[in-house]
Amino acid sequence: MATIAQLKGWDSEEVFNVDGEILNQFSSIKELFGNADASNSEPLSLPNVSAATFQKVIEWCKHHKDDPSLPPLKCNKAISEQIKDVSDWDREFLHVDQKTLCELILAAGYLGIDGLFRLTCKTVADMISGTTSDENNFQH
Amino acid sequence: MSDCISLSDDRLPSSSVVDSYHPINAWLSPSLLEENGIKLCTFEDAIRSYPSYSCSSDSESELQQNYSDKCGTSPKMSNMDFTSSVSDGNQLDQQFQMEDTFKSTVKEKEYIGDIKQSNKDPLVDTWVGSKEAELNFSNVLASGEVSHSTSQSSSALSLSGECSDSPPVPSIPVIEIESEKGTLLLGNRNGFTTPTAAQTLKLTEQCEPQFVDGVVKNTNSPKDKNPSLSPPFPDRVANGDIESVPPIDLNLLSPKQTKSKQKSVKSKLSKSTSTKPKSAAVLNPASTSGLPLKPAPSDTSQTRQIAREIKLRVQKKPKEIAKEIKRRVQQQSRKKELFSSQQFQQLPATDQLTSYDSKCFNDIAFQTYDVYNELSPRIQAGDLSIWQCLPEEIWLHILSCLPLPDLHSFMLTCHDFNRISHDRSLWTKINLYKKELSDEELVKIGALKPECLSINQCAGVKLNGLSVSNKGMREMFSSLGKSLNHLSTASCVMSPMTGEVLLHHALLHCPNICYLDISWCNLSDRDIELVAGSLNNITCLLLNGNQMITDSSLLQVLEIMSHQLLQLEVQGCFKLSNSTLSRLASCKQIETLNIGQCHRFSSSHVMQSLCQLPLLKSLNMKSMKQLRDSSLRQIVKRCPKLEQLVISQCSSLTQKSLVEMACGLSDLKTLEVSSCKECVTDVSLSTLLHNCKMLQSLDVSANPITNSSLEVIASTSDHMTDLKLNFCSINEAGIRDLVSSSTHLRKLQIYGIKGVSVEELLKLNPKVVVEN
Repeated sequence: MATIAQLKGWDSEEVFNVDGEILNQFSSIKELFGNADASNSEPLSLPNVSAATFQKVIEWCKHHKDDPSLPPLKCNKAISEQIKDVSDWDREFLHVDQKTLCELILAAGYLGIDGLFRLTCKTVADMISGTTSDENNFQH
Repeated sequence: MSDCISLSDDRLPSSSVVDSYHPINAWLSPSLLEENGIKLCTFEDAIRSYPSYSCSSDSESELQQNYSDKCGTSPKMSNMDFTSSVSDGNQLDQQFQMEDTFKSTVKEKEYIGDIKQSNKDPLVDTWVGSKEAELNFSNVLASGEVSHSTSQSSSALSLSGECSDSPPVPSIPVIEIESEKGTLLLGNRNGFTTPTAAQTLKLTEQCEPQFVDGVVKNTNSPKDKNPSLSPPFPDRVANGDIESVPPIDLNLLSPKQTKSKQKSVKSKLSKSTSTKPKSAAVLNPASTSGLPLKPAPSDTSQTRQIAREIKLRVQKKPKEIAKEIKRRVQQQSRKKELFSSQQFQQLPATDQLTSYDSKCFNDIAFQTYDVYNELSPRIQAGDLSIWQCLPEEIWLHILSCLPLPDLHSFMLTCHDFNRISHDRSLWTKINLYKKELSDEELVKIGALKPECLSINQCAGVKLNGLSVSNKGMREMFSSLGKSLNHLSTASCVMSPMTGEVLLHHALLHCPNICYLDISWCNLSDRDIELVAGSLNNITCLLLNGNQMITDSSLLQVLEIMSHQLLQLEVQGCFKLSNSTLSRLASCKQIETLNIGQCHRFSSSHVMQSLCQLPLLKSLNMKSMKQLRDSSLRQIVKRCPKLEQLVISQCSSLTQKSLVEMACGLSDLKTLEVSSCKECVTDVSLSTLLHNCKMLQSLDVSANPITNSSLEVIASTSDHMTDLKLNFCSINEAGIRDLVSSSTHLRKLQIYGIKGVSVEELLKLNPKVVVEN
């Protein structure tokens, strides 16, 4: 697990050193590094992820690196059935403003981080549920 | 004109009754087709016979390999379909531009790609519902609103194009399938594998034929039509031009090549991305000054605020934004089609790769975000919500977490959201309660292919004398087939549609049921044995109130399902005895157990069995008069995860039990201890409330508690929402104090307490619903 990838957000030059454990959670880009020793090459910019969001993503991945791998997500199966409980840490972690949350969803989707993607989706759903039809009952 | 008709016959049910119901199936039933001299062949046959396929890959296995490389074997693909499919689309886009001849190939092949995918997408198993479906299903049935949108599953796929190379097939006198550009797709609903939900949207939109007077027409409105879906086959395909095209598959590179490719990708990437910080200021996430969000579902004020915000933004939304979003959707769907065609390409000429590849990667990267970037000035200006930038695939994932009432109100928010919410994958449940059904309606239900079907307390006889027949039930369940997961026929006792008959039909046709609720259906041992023998996937089995069943059948059930059962309910099955209970101990996974009103279970056996079920979360032991304190103490010790506990009418319990529970069950959320006069007193209840802080629902009816308990409830319980205090020794003053000081209380039951005025209580706390 010595592979270290150098990644950075698209909006700043700040470089994040990502070790193998965390990189493994980025299912959509981990193949890009494979067995290559990427530590010497120049940092790879992640075009869809801003530096601050990436910072949060790494924070989440570090906390969840020991999680068991999740069963594959079926498109039409409710995520709510697949997420049993949101832990206190996650709740605190997602205690952010809407813009950050939105960017987190995009980043999780782009990087292919299953757990974070489900968690954020669930969070947004929780935000929507509880609103009554009167509150958003209008039609163009 | 039409030279080739291909049908995937694997889905065609053998019973001709099913087929003849629907016009298209009537035509396509195997016997009829053969009568008319039409050769039946599988989809693979069709593909093999198709000219462009034969030239693109020399063996079918290679094609399958490519296909599975792209879609099938990688589970992540289906999880993160949104990015992956986009990226693949981009790679293709790249190749698309590269060569003219190639372009035609892609176009040509993408068509097959779509067919192949549409043939495997599980999503299309679902149905397009309307909001009434859940709320008032009978209206939908009556209006026939939905019925046309559900083509039956058995018909598969027919191609009638200009492909002259296809094998000779006898002329087809019966079937006249008309459509634009001489092509027609009838989506096969069974066994699809496409990952993306949006693609499903697209597919279902476009593959849905409407049946009008025996002529199949494409129902797409011009607006929705995707031009690339029905390309006229280029002439050069027939000429064999395609063979000269070098197709590309990135996955099949050797490691060495991949490595060099990656390096060049990386270097190019960093260059190009550094030149593109177009809206850095806008996206700077340091601006966390926005409203902090509480993810907790209980915080309604926050959610309301969000709803209001979205609403405001949307109201102001200029038309051009709508246009832009539409454009984006089109772009995405185009790329996805390209993606779907990729699996049909051969091994690449590898030296060409590096130059295309790097640019592809850039495209992938920006494609997801570009909408967001484009719209960000408006987001900052406040006339557009950030949420509208989320791709629809992500919205579908979010909406799949919503319960239906919330989804309903979400649908009313704006046009875009309404459109997204109509996705078939979100509407898979049909609940019928106290309805009178007819054959016709049953068949329509079957055609909608819900995953969850509950027919509770329904009768098979209408007022006008029409009644349900065996034929109707058979047709419904055979068209539901493998898609049905949840079935509930609780309390169906009216002949001819009894739970027993329904169960037998379901067992014959629906092997994938995992949740079966057959409570209060007067079932016998034989039926239960049938269930045990034919359904292998059952995880939840509800048998409440079937008084006839005995140990023998239940032992058989437990024998087979002990390792998988998550929920078992046998409340009121009086004949069950200790031997069942002993066997129950082997169901280690069980989380929900209901053994209420089973009077033959002895206290010690209950204790011994339950102590071996450490995962128990919900336990119902209602009216178990034989249960003793010592047994309950052991259960509480060994089942620490209990969240719901019902020990109402367990009259042998004393105060000790409640104190034990207070010490052992800190996670308790629901507790019902009505009519336990020895057990619930002011003292013991106070101990419990001080320790179990998570309690949300409490039933202490018919117990000798006084106003002092109410004070404790008001002061200790931060989460209490539901309270039942029927027939307790309390008075109006205590209730008034409780109602005015409890902020979370929503529901209060106070039957049998005199002198309480509901109106006054409502004035004190308008959120509380009082029943008396």
